[in-house]
Amino acid sequence: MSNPIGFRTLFQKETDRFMSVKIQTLFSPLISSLLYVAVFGLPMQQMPSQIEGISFLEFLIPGLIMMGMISNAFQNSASSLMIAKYSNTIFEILTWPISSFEKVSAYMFAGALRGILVGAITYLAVLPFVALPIESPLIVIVVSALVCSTFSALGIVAGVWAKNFDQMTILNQFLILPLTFLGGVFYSIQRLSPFFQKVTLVNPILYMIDALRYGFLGVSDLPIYFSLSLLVVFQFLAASLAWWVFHSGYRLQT
Amino acid sequence: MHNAIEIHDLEKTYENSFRALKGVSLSVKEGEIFGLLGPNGAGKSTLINILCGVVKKTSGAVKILNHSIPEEHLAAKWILGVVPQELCAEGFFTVHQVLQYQSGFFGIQNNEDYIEEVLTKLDLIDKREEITRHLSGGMKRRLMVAKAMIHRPKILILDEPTAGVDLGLTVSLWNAVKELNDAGVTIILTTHNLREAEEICDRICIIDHGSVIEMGETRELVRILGNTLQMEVSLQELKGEFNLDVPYELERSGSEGRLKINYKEGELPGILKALSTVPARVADLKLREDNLEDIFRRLVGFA
Repeated sequence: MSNPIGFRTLFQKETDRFMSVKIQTLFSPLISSLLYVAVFGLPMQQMPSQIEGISFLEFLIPGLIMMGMISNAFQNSASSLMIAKYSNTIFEILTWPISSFEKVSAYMFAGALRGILVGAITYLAVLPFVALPIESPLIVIVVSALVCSTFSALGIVAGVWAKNFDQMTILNQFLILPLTFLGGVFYSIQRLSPFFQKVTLVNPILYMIDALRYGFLGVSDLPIYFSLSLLVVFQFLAASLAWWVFHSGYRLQT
Repeated sequence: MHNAIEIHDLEKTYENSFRALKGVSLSVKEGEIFGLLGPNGAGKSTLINILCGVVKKTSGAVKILNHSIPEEHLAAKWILGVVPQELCAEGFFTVHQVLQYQSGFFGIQNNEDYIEEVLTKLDLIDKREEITRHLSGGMKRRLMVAKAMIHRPKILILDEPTAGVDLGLTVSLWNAVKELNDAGVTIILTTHNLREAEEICDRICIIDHGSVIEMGETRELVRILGNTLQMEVSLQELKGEFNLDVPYELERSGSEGRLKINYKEGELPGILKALSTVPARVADLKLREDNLEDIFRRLVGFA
């Protein structure tokens, strides 16, 4: 029995939630991106990147956009569920006549929307500093949608899994943030020694940043279709895991 | 009449190996007000939480209007409304928004008229635009009831709805519940307040330590189990000592006294005769039938 109105309402509620605190959810990520631009980008503006014909700033910005998208898409579903835990309303999720598939989709799309909005705002805000072209808008859109929905699905898993904000911080600061920084936001992996290149190849975020960079600049470290295929696989795995979490009642039902 | 809820041999053992339900069987008829009574930790909330999908059963069969739980729980959720025991309110939205979302979760797109009606009925209309987190405890409770009934459920479950609630709310709450019941909604409630249950419930199930102790129509239960009557006599101008040939308790202070006598039906004439031998003036005399509270205390054994 499907419940399209229920799905739409949940998506709406999750969207309304982050829109009601825009400063925190949309504009504060912008500040950190702009600071990175100011600290790393502007002084090294004229410095060439490893890649022919592309300045360091141009190289940096797709990585910063990806960083903002990842953390905000993840935060949206994760903190929504954490807040529900702390306000005793998490059990309500179990009482709605909405299927697990519809629930996952609603949380996932709302989180992805926030991620994409943060990405778009970041892009527009850095335009005055660097006229970054978009080489392939289609790739930028597809990569953003895949990555944001992957991380908002993971946010569902994290929000259900974490028993308190401490555990959530562990995920954020000890896993996602290092993987993002080491995934090539600031450098091309070609700069790394062969050993660290190999190590970096197991980091999923590498493919996300590299694919987005391809969309903006038309050049990348790795073959774009390989990265895109991996992103589809990551999305499928993350969404399936989120579905399983709701469907099995893991940590929600006793 | 059909059964709204059918429970057969329901068992629940939690992960910490606490056995909360030990083979409970009961059925709730469509259209009745069914009261689940018992002391703290009796298993009432576990039972209710299994019905609304928060707790997984260990074994046994549960059916909600013929939908088996958990296999057909999604279908059953459409017809359930639940008022949980713990107060809860999310921080971001107003009372009106929360009710709009709740309607939407249950597949209702435009529920404005009914939302207004429910807000009015539960005296929440003034709080319509208030952020739910800022509501007082009583108002939060009203909102929880409003949420549970906003999709016009066929079965409404209330877990301790009057716990920590003032008299005004209790009255408007029970009026709302009775009104819903008159309109055909089946009501299941748990409560500590036995007098309340006695007044409002068609049938009652008393559970303790995870087992059903007694179940039946409220009036029948009171009649069968409550065959003890009590007389309370206020005495004045009491002079000297006396002895009655029926069991009694006397609280005496100077020339005044209070006499309590338990008796069975048919014994009244003998007691009145004995009373006439008491060297005092009878200032007042009260007769009281056993109520549910007395029965409950006797059954659960903490009289």
